[in-house]
Amino acid sequence: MRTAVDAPWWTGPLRHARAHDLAPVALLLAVVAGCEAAFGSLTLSFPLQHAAHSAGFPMRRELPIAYAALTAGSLHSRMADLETAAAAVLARYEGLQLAAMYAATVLLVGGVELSVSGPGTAVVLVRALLVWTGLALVSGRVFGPRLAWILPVATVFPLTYLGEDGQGRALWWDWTVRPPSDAAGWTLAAVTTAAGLTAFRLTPWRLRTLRGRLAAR
Amino acid sequence: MIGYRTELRRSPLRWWFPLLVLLDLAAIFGRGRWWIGEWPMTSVQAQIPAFYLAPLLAAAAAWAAGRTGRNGLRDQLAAAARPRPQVEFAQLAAALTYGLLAYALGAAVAAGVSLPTAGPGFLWPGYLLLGAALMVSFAAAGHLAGRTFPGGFATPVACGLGGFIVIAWAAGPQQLGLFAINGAPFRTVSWPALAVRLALAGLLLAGAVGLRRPGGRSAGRRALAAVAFGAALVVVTVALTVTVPLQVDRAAPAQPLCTTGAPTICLWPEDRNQLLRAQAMADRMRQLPTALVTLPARPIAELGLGRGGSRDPEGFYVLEGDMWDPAQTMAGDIMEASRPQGCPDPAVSAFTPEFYRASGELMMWLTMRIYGGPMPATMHGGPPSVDLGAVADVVRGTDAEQLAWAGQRSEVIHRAYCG
Repeated sequence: MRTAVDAPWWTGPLRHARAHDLAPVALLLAVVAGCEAAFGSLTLSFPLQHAAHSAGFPMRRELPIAYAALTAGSLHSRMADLETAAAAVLARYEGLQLAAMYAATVLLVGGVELSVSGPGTAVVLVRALLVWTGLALVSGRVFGPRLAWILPVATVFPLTYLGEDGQGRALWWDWTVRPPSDAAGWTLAAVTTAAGLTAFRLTPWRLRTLRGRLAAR
Repeated sequence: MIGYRTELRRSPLRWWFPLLVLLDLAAIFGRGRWWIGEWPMTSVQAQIPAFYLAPLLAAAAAWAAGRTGRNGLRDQLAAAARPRPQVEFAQLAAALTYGLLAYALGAAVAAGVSLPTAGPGFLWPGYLLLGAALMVSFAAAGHLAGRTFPGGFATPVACGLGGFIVIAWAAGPQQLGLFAINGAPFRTVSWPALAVRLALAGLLLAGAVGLRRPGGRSAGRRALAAVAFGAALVVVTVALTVTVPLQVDRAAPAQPLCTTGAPTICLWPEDRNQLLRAQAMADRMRQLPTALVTLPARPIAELGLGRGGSRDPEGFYVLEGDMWDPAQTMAGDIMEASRPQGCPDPAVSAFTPEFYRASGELMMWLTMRIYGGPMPATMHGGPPSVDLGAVADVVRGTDAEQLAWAGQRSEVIHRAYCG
């Protein structure tokens, strides 16, 4: 009889992938990338009637939200209730999964944009992906991984409606428009990524330990 | 009713309601305040948040509707004593209540802000119904999607993000016409168009609560209902495209608001908040040096008041509540009226770059004189090769200096026409 100890090394990751529905996630990533390559230039227009403002912008600018939501949403498990009592190996697998999702989405967004729109857009959208993934991780910790999309989707309103001044120039925080080398944009990306990774590390049991330590003081 | 109240209490939107109100107010007040004091513009502005609320409602409804499938309550609900549509309607109505309440609160605040300065009338119900129809349509579509694909993750994201993309890509006033952007007083929402959009909302609502998975004893009837729903959706979509443009011209009012004394400037009664400014402009027009310019004899009227309706080439348009654009139109009218008379039509070669610059500068000088100051920062454009800053400096000079400066330009124009 084979025991868990005898099982080949890939059994654990495979089971982890199955519980986290990583095959459908990979399929959805491919679908989103396909949409980005094929329909990324569709013009979206928002309800602004200011004479100075552009009539619209390409859809690709909002699509990194879908990748970010998939990255954070993939952390949901069909065995979420059981996993609250899991051993440290689960945390390691989740860390690996997050790293793999980061790598895959950065490569997909960067690769698609590099081949379709050019290096400038690729850099800006990878930066936007980092910002939104950070926000999605925070949102996933607060509302649960399945609702990780809430914060990124909520940013659509300020980005598309309030992101310009009276002259039609992008405000400093509009991370989807500012130029590739913009310092504020990269600062935002760094801050949100740090916040997202912190939120990812802040599991319920770590939170409990932290609270206990604070109470002991 | 008890079911509805329970759903209201349990809706995932209950904690988000303050944020929905905040979003609504940010969308109303976040871009310019020129709509304040003008009822059609205020109505359109109060309708704008529906653009953002609709996809969010779709996502929330999809998440809420997936509850039954997520929690494994499908069989329990199938055996319930209450008819299924009633159960579904209570849940969808709860989501709609929060969304529409935020929308109504925003409209009430907008109306309250507009009321002290506004002309006759009140909020126009047509525009507000248009926004409400958009929200109901999206929430119902989200509910239907959530029931059909109850997985807790992909459906709400697709409804939220996909909803934004669909609405921004295909629902604009020139496309499917699900919302309006411009609330000019000479236009109104066309009633047939509004009826079709309300029908779309009603149809999606009926589908969201009434459609059931095929199966069980009435499998044939359920499949038939789904086919009928699809066919009706196609018909309504075609009707949407047929009823674009969404807005139609209004009949000119019998008694437009006009300034006193010649030259007369006439406005739509809805633009009463501009009347004092228009009166000041008419007064400033009277003070222009008559040696140089001839004032137009007919009244200068806002778009839609003249014979050509909204395509009246001589009407002025109050762009973003600012009288700068009208001042430019009036300056053009004056240039036209002051054109040298009695000379033969000049050859095209007479219109040198020097001529164009002189007439552009003279026109901008007239515009600033009528407007009572330089171009405001929120406005853009002007004739090419004219330095607006230099013209603004001239307007600040003494009357004699201005007369001499304008006389030189006038002379260049006269030479081009009369040799």
